Amino acid sequence: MSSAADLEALALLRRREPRGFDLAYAAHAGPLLGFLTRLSGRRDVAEDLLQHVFLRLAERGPELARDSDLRAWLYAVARNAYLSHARRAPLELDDAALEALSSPPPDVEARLLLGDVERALGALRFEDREVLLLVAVDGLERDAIARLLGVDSAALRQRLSRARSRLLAELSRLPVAPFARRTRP
Amino acid sequence: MTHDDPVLARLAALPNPTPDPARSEQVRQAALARLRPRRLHPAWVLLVASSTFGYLGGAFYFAVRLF
Repeated sequence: MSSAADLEALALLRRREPRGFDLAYAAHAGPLLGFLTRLSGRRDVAEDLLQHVFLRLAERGPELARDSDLRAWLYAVARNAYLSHARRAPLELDDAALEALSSPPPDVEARLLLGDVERALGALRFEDREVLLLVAVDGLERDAIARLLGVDSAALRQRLSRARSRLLAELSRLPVAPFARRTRP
Repeated sequence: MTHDDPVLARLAALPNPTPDPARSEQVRQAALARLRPRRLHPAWVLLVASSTFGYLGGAFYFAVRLF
């Protein structure tokens, strides 16, 4: 379900008012940048993809239905942008970018926990990583995620369960030393 | 949304980065340029008007010659 802020942003965008864009950017740019950085493993790539997402919003926003799920639409565009990018050029993970996502740390223990999750996420396959990241997005409904991934709710549950198990397995065997650089298909 | 599952709750707690302000401003300017309604170039208006009048004029001339 769309939030009141998203509905207002959509209504303004449909009237081509800049404030609609500003509202959408303020609410979603940070979480989308986190999603894209964790998906691609590269901050610079994530910034480029974020720009693509919001320029697409400016082009297509005025045509969106007034009751559209703006959040789901943005994540669908972000995911497709990432997939197109990954098809063009295999990405090399930048561990420093992933580590930097966890800072500034609230305390040492939390930093370790969050840092470990980042590293474990980075080690997962794309299919597992994307489903975990999408489910963790605040306010993104399971039905919307299933539609975005092109699966039904039962398949989404199964995929999520598998991804969750793999993340836990990855967390349990994480080395203390930072990961070596890897290439991502 | 709150997650009962501790793993999902941990994922949801991952901090999000802040977009670079300079880059954000660039994106905003480019987006607002796309958001502004585009005015039709006068040449297109002239072309559409002249082809419409040309077609209607031709049709009228043809109809007059029939009778």
